[in-house]
Amino acid sequence: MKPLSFQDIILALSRYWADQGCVVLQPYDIEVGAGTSHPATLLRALGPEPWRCAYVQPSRRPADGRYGENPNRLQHYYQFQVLLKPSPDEVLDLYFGSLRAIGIDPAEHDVRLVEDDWENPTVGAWGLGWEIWLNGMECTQFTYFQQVGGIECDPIPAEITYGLERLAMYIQGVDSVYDITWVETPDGARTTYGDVYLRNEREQSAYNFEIADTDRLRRLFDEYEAESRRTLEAGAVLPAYEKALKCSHIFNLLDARGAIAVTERMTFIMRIRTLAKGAAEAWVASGGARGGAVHGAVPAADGGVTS
Amino acid sequence: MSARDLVFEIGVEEIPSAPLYSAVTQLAGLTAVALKDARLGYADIRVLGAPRRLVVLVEGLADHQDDLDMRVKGPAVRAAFDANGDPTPAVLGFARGKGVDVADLERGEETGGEYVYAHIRSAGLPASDVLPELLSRLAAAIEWPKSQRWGSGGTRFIRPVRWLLSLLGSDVVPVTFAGLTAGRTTYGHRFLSQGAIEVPSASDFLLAHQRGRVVADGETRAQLIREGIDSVAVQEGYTPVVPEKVFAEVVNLVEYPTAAVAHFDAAFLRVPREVLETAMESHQRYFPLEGSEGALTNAFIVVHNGDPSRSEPIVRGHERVIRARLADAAFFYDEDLACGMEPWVERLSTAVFQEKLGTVAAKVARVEALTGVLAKLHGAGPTETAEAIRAAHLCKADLVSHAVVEFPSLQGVMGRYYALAAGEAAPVADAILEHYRPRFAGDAVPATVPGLLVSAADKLDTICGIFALGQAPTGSADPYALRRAAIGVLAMVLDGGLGIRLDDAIGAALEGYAGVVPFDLEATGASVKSFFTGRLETMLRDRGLAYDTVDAVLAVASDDPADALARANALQAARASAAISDVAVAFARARNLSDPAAGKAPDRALMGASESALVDAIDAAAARVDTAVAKADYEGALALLGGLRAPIDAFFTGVMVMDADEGLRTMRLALLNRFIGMFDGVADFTRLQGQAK
Repeated sequence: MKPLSFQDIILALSRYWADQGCVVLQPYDIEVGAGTSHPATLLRALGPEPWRCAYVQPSRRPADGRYGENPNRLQHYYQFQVLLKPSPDEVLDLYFGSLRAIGIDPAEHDVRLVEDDWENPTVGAWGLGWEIWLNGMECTQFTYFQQVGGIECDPIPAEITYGLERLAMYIQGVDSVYDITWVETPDGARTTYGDVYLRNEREQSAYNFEIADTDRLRRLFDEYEAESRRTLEAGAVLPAYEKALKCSHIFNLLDARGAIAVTERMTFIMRIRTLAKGAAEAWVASGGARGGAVHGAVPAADGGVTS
Repeated sequence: MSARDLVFEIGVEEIPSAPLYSAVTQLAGLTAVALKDARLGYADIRVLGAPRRLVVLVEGLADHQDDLDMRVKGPAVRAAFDANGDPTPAVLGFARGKGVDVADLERGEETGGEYVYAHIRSAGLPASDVLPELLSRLAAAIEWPKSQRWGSGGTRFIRPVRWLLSLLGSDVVPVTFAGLTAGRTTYGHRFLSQGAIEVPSASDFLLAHQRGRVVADGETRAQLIREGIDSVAVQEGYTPVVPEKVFAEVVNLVEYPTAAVAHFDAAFLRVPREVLETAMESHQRYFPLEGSEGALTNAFIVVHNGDPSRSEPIVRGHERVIRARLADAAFFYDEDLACGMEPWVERLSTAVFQEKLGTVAAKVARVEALTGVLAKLHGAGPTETAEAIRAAHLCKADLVSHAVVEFPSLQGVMGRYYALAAGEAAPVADAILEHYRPRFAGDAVPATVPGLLVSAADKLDTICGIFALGQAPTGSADPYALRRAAIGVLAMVLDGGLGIRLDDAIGAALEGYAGVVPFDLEATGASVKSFFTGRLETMLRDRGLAYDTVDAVLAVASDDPADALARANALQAARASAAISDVAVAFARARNLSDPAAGKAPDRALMGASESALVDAIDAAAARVDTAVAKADYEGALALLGGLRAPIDAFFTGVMVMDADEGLRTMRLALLNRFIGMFDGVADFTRLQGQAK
């Protein structure tokens, strides 16, 4: 059998998790460092309502760019993210079922669950779990969230994060991310990951490391910070959270550019933390997903700050 | 009494390695205590642990609790009943606490009066009545470093509990824990076994695991893995590299281990060995293989958790993963080589050393300067000095290299490679590597003078900086590992031939912080010195020197640790001789009487025979003692001091020091001051135990 294309992997995972009762969402349209920052995970992890969702989320890690020259590292890559709240008893079996859905039979491989606890102090969040190894390759991060925004999760959600490029490279047997077959038409026309993203990696790397105007970015940080505060005061939690995510991304850009002085680093992180935690607390205080008329719903970001 | 076997299995999602080891140990102890408290006899307890399960096996568990028959002493009879003979609150409380009616309390005489006793008797219950509660408590009693909740439940455990099995003989013990009730169902290997396995009785349990392809016993797994590694290595004709830590973790990452050989592209062998090893061990938990010459080969061992009959495709998978890892590492290495070290030195200004103490770049500047000072103190030659200062300049550069950012444990190792590649002199490169040593107690000290100098400068700089901040270690809180750093500096002086004195070195290191943070130079210097002296004291004792020997030696001087060690060794040896212990007694006596105001120039005109004899003996020995001390010949010095035994004893026997005549008294005291002064360069003999004060 021909290995699945990149987009078929996404489609198969989406179908599989849709069949498990997940709301299949589309990517969040704000730059984030990890799929966890999507409000559908981070904010929905809080509160008593059951919630199941699945979505693809592009992750932006400006400092990880390599101008398209490294076969394994990207400043923009995809995560497939699943959140199941409460975590069902058979959650690991469901996960292994999803591997079968993309052509990987765990019984034929060496599958191991290796301790990997997760913590993001910026949003007062932590959880316990594993990285899941497939013949030695870390293909998934699995976490039982315990706290978000300093607030205990109850019930406990399970978060599953697949590294899509790694899985695709593995499934397709290619050694460079740029050689991943994104799609192949029946008449044999093949589009690769490189066709889609190589130029983007080159230009974004150049931007992140060389072109970005650090003075302007600093001003933008200040502006988004002010806007986030103002918005939160006005009672609109989700828009305030988005502005916090903007700050986080701008910080990551400045960091990639080497523009964050040692002495100001902690200050920047604390400023983002204040915004993100504030939003998470306001989300819960205002009733969460079913929250009040004025208040939207949104908490804090995870992984937004790379360090 | 009849007995049966008991098995209790807690089925858990994959338990991390270290807590798993700990839980197995805890459960063995907890089970023994619980059974004893429950008065249940048994033949043997075994606890097994694998990633998905904890298992308690009790062999020959008594079917019944032992009967209880004991008398517990209560209050005195006069305190137990009032004037009317009615029970007091004291005795009512006692009876209630023991579960006995007041009417059933017994009385008994004991020295001091008559007391009431509760005679508690109860027939032992069947084990099956007691076990559900007992086992449930056992599960709850395990302590975890971190625990979690899951789903909608409130139980905390290391990872979610998914099943419980408990059998007493062939009977199910319905233990409840974490919202589950135990049955007779177990589960085998997560992927190599299908579905539930029913277990007829406790004695069938391990057989069920065998069918389910699980080796639940960690020790058995360890043995299987070791045999697997050895047999693969023998087959390949290589020697495996098996770090204990990686091995221990691998044991708890698999339930059904299989060892297999795998390979990577030999072209990667151009990358430094340490990089390859770190990539294989710390990221992948592989075991590298060495050839007959001790060089790394491109073969390695994978211990996997998969189907042994599918080792080949599994190994191919692992080979793909390591290829990507090594390609990444090689990419970093090449980029690093192309970059060279000087840009990194500059980039250190973006790395924090300590928030209040500034950047690593600033630290490097201080360490460079301090290295120069230490080189002078040590008496290093011009070449060594230049090499040391150059090494100090480059010593932290690799911290911002790609390779060290990726593999932090390779700091120094990569710096050495990169320095060599950049054409630095070999001693400079070696000193970059060596300046992190000694890394732990007992680790080798740097073998080269530049290595010693940079290492000492780096550690002194850290210690003095943190002390200047007022954050000296307290109790168990030593976040900057300053004790280890100080011990490292001292070990270099004691064992590495580093010739520095503490006061000079500390003073120079503190000077580096002038203007960086406000601090009191003198007070900080004194507290750093006493910090070092404290470590030195411990180190000398750890070398088998008596605490009072150490005390006596350090009381005289601790500025030169190597000299203190030499004096302590000589004194320890000399203490075996009668002459020295007698002289020590006399010294203590002299010291008790001494009055510095009397000076050190006794008037010979006033002296009698024993005084003259003593002053002559002192005069005769003084120059020779000084010479011996100057040459650090403390054995010789102590022999000379021992020679004063006869004249000092004769002096104390022959005269009364505190004579009523002031002239005589002053002369005698001055004589004693001279005598005491003879010991100045060696030790304070009053500190030796067993000497009169």
